[in-house]
Amino acid sequence: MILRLATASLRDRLTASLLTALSIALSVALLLAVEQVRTGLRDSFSNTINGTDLIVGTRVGDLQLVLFTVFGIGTTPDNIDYATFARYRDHRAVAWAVPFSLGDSHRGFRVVATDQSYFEHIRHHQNQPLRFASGQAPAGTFEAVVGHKVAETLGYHVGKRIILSHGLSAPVGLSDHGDHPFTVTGILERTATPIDQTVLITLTGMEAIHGGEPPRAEEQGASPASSLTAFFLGLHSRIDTMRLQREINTDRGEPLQAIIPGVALSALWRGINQTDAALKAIAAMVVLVGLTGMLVSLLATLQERRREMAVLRAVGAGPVTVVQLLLLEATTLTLLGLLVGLCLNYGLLVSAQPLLEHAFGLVLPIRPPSALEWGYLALVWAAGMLMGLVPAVHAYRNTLADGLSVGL
Amino acid sequence: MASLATSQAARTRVTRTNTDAVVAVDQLVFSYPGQDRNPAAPTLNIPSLTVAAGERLFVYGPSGCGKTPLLGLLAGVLEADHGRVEILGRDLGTMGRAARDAFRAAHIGYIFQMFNLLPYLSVLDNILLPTLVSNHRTAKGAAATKAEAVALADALGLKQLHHQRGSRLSVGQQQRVAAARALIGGPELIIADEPTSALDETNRREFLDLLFQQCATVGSTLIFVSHDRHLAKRFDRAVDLSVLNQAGDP
Repeated sequence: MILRLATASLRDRLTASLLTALSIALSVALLLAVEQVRTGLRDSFSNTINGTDLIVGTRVGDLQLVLFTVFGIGTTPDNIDYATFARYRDHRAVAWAVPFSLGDSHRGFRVVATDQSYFEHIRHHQNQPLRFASGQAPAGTFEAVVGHKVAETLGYHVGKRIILSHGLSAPVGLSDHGDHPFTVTGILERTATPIDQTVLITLTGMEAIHGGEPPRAEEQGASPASSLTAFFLGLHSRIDTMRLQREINTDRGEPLQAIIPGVALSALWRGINQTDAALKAIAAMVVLVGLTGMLVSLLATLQERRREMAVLRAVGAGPVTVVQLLLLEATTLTLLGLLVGLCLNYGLLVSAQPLLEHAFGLVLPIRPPSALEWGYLALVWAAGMLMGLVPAVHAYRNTLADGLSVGL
Repeated sequence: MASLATSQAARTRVTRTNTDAVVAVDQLVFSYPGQDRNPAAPTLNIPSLTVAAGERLFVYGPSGCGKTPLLGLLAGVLEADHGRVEILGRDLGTMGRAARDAFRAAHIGYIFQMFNLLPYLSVLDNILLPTLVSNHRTAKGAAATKAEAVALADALGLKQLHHQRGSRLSVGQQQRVAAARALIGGPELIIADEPTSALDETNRREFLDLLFQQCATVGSTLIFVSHDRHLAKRFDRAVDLSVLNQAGDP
């Protein structure tokens, strides 16, 4: 009965009701959007590297190791012996190993020397492999593959000859490896990770431009390089991760450090991310504004509804019924706002997704609301009911004071 | 009128348990809560008032003589400080507030001076409102109750307006819907608080005719309050509240 009265009453004030619900809907849509962008940023950050179980480098600290291997920031003075890499590559727990050698740059972009395994095993967001927009992986010593951003910025295409520079920030021409030009053999598709801003060459290429002996093709099994900066490991079974990590950390041959990328990235995210709390606070305030709008509109009608309450009392409805009626109206309005807000949010997500991905490299997956988002929605609903309590209590007092005579 | 009231008082003591008495008020004293409850100067002090079953009682008096609190007490919305208010042999003072609400829903039909309707409900839904609150009023079943609402609406000249919303009706039509709502389910007591004061002469006469007719059909007792003494002659009995109410008398 109360439900019927509440819906009839809300329908009677249709425009006001819809506007109230819309203001809640907008705030809910914004709350969800903020939450999605927040988790999107975090996921995109922590998914920069995917599928790699351990990153191994010299003892420079977790943060530094992640920064220079995954994000291409900073460097390390120390190197790892190639033999050590080979030893772990052949470890029975290890499924695959990708070597990493840093130190050169090309017109402000980093050069990473690696081997074929890089293109096979490096994964980013949701376990996506690297794909070639054109061309293929470097095979010869003086061949290079460039990331999406490199190709886009510098206008490179397959077949372009490029000169690498020694060091990471050297101005062009100062310490060029001018005598060893490289040929671009492939351009990677966009990954929305630092790989886009990387030039990839082979270890033999790196060795060659630094004055090492150009390896002879017939020399099978020879090391392509004498030393590495770091390497990535993929294991047969994740269960072995901790054990292998300890084994590497206590390696007797060389002072090494192994980190689990997910753990290190999460720690790094927490460390650098200051916007989380601010975003949350803004979203919470927007919801509060939406709900306050509802409170105001319910309170505004309360005075003119005193007669309605008296009529209900006259036909035998108790004051509690009057309270329930108002609470139900608030609850219904909030629920309506939540549903419309959810629809708005998905509409926004679907329409903005390609734009966000293109402009910011931010991939927001379209998925059902997460547990946290459901939690937020439930919280908003509860807050709406709580707001509804204010006019309800007012109405309760009015009802008891007025009885059947409304002194208007 | 004073003599009428006192002779009534004498009779009340005898007939209090009489099942024929729909209303029996005995030594009623009432002051509004919040006001200074000065026992010496209550708002209402009625030694006795009895209304027999089927009776049409006219209560008149100038404004401020205590009509509103009296009706609130009879409807069980207000509580007496002293004395008894019995409706259908039940002492309202012994009931809790929720019980009084339920009792009112089941046995009392109430008509306001104006603004009787929920503006967002149709005429029929407004008439059916008491049946939503109390099972008593739907004793005949939902279909029969709906039929009764339609019959009442038609009898009160609202034939074309069943689905019209309350806010779209004229004052005269609104009051007739209010009467139909008070009458639905055949409550034993109808209380009407100046229901005709907002109506013109023709509408007033028509409204009274229809109200009397339907009260007779349903078998309801009617307590009708007005400041317009000219209406008194159409009732079985008339009381002057300013005389009946001894509050403020020396």
